[in-house]
Amino acid sequence: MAIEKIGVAIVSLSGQQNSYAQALYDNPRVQIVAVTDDDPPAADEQVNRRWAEEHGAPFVPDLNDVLSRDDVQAVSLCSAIDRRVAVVRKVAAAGKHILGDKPLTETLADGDAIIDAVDRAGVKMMVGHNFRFNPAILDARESLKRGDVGLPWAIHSEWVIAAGARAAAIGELRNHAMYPLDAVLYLVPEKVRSVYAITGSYFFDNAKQSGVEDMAFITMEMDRGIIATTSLGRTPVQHTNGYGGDQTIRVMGTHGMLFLDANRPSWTAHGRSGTTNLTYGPVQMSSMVEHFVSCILEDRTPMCSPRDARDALEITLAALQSSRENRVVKLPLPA
Amino acid sequence: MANVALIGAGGVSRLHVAAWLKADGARVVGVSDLVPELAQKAAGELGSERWTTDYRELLDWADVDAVDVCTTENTHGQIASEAAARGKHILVEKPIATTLADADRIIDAANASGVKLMVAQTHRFYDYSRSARDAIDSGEIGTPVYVRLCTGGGFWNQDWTGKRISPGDTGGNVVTNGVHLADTLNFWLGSRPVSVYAQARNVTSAHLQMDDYFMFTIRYESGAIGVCELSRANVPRSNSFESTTILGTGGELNTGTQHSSRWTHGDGGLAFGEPEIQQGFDAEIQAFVDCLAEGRTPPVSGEDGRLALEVCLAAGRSIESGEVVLLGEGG
Repeated sequence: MAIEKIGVAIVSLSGQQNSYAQALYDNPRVQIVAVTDDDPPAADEQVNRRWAEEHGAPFVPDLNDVLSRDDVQAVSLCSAIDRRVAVVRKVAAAGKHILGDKPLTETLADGDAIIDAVDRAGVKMMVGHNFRFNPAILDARESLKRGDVGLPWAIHSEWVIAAGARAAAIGELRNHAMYPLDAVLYLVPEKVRSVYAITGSYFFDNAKQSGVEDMAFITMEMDRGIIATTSLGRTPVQHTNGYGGDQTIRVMGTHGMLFLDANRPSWTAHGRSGTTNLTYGPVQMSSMVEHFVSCILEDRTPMCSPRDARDALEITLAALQSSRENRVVKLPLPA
Repeated sequence: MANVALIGAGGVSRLHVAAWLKADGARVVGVSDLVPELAQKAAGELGSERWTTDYRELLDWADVDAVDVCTTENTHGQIASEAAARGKHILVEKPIATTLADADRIIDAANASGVKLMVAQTHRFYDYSRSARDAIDSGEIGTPVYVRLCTGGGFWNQDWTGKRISPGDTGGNVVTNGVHLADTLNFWLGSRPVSVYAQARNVTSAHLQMDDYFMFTIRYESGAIGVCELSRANVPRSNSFESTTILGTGGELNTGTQHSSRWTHGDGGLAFGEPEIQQGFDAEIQAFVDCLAEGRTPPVSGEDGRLALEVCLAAGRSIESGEVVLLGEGG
């Protein structure tokens, strides 16, 4: 019996699309039926064409031609962030489900527009917060639901990547904070009421020159008085343990403590190429894509919704404001 | 050979007594404590013939060069400033005092009479702290810009019954224990704290009206971030979680997720090796003695102790108000 498949169109090879598209391509229940873009600059089109050729998928220059096809059930959408609302509206109106790149939007208003477009069209949308699909985080959620550590009263997360020669042009908070923040809100699903943050441009020349942060520490107060913190940033020095950084979460509970290290289980390899960390087991990107595909085939609501993306963005914007003004910022922020 | 008098022979002074016995270049020649049995016992251990229940009597003894003040926190201001006025060098337990006014009183008295004043911020002398500072000073990680110091465990392994839980006597948990963390961050980062934001919770001590968990974030003049966390609310009590990260512009110092060199999975659950407590006291008291002998400035000044206190008092105000507290405002 043939397995049921969904047809997916790849929209723009920018952002994290290489990772999403590869995981979709590798998923046995996905057929890549088109590669396209929404009004791409010429350079992007070359990238799109090349990927399509390499993966044996048809390149279709006009997004509208893709959206009118019945064999397209979903799109993986990584078009530029300033075009994203318009493209989501068009795709949702065509009845296609959406896997959207992170960060989803730059503003809360754009986040609201996307939520509205998706809700109106009744399509499913998942945002690429792939860190939530790290096996350690999925497992920790089950542990917390079982009450293994009682009721959480504090959750401390570290998400520091030790790689690269430049900080993200948009700043590391806008670039990466959604990963730990989304995980924190998934593990302890309470509303954040206040945010305090200190940020700095410490490590990278481009961060110093453009005034964006490469490191931040955020303290949040959630409903029920739960304390949540996030260390977030990028450092230039390769980690001594061979990790690409530190991605850990510690949950303090009334009946115990949960500690997770998202870079485990792994081998630490001391070899000819230095010290590297060889993780094994389920890969979060593949798990995320599999979840998206399952939700479409089984008509379930995917995790990591546009609302989750908006929640993480709201905390991020509050953190940036808090650091600028050196004061506690209360949520919700005005939209 | 410096002659030292120990004022206060309960609580933390037990660790001082052990350190004085090892100290090279000093001896304890008298002890005072309000409880005669404690004074007598400590004097016996230290080989000192004299003991008293009145520290003022001890300040009259002409052969006393220096005092080691280990009394309850809120008495430091009175006792240490009196000792300074009587020309005695001073080692005062942390926190230097429980109010900035008392801290100033001690510092001013020491300056006026030209005696040496050192605050017993023991964590400057522990191997973990010293080695981190040495690594920073070596330039190995560039300029430190971010420190996250997490320490803690279950409920106190010290006596917090009786007056030990009274904030009026000790300054409360955030002051009396928080100064260790604040001073360590100040020591490592080498910059002046600008503001403090703190959170605290009363998790397992509901009947004691005290926060057994607190954390605070310090913004430094250099732009550096200091984060510290002290939990005495971990469950189970044996779970002493310790983790420290120092990020510099050119590298990183990291203990990983556990300082401890030993952990045990026993019938009582997971337990970590306890840090060596005595070592910091031995090093601290020897450093004080060396300063007396060589006429040097003590490695932890009254101002250092005052700054750690100021951070913690600000943290206390932040916990009450829920807002960021700028240093130098109020007191």
